Amino acid sequence: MLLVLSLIANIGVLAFFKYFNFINTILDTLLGFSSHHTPFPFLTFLLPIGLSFHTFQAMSYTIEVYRRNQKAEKHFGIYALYVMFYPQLVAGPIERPQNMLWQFHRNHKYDFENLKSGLMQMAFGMFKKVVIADRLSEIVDRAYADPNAQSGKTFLIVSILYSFQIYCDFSGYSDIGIGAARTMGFKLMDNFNVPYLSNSIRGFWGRWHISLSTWFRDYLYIPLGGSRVKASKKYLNIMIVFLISGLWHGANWTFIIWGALHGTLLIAESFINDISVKLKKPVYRNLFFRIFKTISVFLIITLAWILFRSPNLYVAKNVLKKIFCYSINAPFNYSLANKSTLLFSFLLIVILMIKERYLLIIPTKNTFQFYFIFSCILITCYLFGVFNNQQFIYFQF
Amino acid sequence: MRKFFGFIVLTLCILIYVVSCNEKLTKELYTYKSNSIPVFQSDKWQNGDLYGMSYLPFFRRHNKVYDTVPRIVCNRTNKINLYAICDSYLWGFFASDKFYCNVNEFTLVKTNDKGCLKTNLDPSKINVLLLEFSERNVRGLLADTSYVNNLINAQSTGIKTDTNKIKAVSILQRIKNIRSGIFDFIFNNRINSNIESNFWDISLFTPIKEFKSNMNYKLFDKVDKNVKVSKDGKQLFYTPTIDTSNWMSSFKSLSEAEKDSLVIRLNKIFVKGKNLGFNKIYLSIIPNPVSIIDPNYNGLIYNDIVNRIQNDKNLKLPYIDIMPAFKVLKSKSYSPSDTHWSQYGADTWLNKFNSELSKITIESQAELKK
Repeated sequence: MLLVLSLIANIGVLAFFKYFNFINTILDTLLGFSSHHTPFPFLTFLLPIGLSFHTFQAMSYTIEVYRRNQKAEKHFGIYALYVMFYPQLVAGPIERPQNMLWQFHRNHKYDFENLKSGLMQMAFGMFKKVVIADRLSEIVDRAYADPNAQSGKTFLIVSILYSFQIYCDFSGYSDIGIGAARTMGFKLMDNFNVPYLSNSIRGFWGRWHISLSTWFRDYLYIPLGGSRVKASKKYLNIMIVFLISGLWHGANWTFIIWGALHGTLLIAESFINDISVKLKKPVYRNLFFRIFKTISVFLIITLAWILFRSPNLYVAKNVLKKIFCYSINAPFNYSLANKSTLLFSFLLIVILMIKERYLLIIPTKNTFQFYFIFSCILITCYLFGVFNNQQFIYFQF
Repeated sequence: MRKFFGFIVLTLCILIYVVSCNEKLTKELYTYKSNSIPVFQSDKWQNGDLYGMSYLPFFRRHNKVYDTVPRIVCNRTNKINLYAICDSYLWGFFASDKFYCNVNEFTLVKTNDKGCLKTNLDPSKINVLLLEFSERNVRGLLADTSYVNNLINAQSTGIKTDTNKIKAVSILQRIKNIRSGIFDFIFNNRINSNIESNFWDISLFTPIKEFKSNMNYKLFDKVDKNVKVSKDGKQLFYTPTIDTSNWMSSFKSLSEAEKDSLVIRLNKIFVKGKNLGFNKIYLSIIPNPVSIIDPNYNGLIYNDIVNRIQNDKNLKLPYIDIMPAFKVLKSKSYSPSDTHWSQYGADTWLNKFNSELSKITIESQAELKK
């Protein structure tokens, strides 16, 4: 009973702040068919910062205590710190009480190794944000500011750039958050693991926003029955999880359809895998096939991001239409970015992918090496960084 | 040693943060830096405001000597009391009575602070009011109804006040002030620019800033978002004066209805001024640099706001028409690295205004003889 009350309270706050106007709009549209209007007023208020993140973190605590995986915290200050721990307050990672509460009880002493590794992760997060994400955002924002003026080729390139913008923006924030916690001696969970090198949609979700994916897996997918049920129920579970995941991102049809699209892709992939297992068909494991699969998965995810980026379904439809009516003769709109900017952007992306593939965490054991690399990153951030007060994309959630 | 060094860095960071939270301390630090050795002095506004935004090295002034135009030799009859409601074009260049012909007393109100003129006119003098707007500000300022209504007022005197009431209010006010002081300190919304100014705005760092700017400009054709470089690369423009969605823009379309409403508001100020006792009221709109130097910037269409207001048949105010002179002078009228005019442009305007002031005194003498 207390669990239900607690969950209702958490979800209620989230629903009120994030979804009230959205539901009211739907109601208004539906009542509009009978020439009526919604009886509820549309509310204008500021969304509490990081609401979706700390609500989920608070729910995680309640569920884990209910499941007896975690002792109830008696110190209110420590509980409050768990929910509102500043490095990950605004955009995650969404932590679990088992990973965090014991750390808050521990006495943290100054540790130079923690400081070095934390600062290094923060610096690289900053590099991802100001050098890559904000540079790409200038091109992407200009394209979406006037979608009718862009060609299919332009939108294809812009969509690829947006894939890396959102990755660098979000994983950059996670790196800064995790690094900031590390400098104080706290270890937060990893949130990204080179997602664009996945060769399946399932693999992608195992590497993208890991803290949210595992949250949905542990607290929604598995309680619904997970994959240990008959196939049709499993597919339904997947779809429910992804629809809710889409809705979690924002009260907009673009997010819901984005979630549904990922759900459908995952169901299709799961279906093919099930068939392959039944038919005992050999799985191709050669390098060429894996590269082909990785590129295909990346392109599919890139197309899905269009829904995420578009302000509404109309724009998303237009962008997708332009891309699918791609003409090789249609020129790229160089007023968005000149050749050297484009070339430099792609160079940064290649460097990033190589670094993330072979050196996810930059080693900091050697102090001289640390000072050298840390200074180089800071200087690069200053010289090539774009400082235009661009917010982190996930701050809106 | 490492801990000691860390402690020093931390203390310095906290100090910069605390100073940056407080506007007064930030100003104090700025003044202190200005009076210290050259490497610690601010370099932001010394070479033009647009240079300070972009740090493009080839727009640094380098003590260049510019052409000057000889100023009109003025009579000093002291017959005029001049009141000016103006922006930085005027108060940055001519903020004293010594510049103006026949002027006894000069009163200045800045439009930047949305200041209003409280007048107590001396009937023994010729009272002249100058309304000077830069093109980039005229639409925004005149669109504000309460500003237009309160722009000029008679100075009130001898109003009885209830001292007890004032005391009660002031205690409340004091509490409010303390609360807002704390809030402003903790949630200072200028914190970013203050930190930048306190930590980064010293001449010592200028070469680094110029290197970054130059590299980004040469490699990516990218400059600060507030600045645009002209096609020939010789002039900086302020982006809002080009951005078609901005009030300040020379290229934001201006409908006939909007232009008419601007004229109506100017006439309203004129009528109010006349009723208050001003003998002459002048309007002067200083065009944006881009309107003169490149009115077809990137194929955009100039809205021609200055001429359209000045030539409106319903406009009651006489105006100082600087457009023709500036169109001849072109880039000579403006500073290449600043949003304002050059000394040449400024003096050209001053001569035009002074010849108007001289005319007034001649007219008034003729009236006296009659």
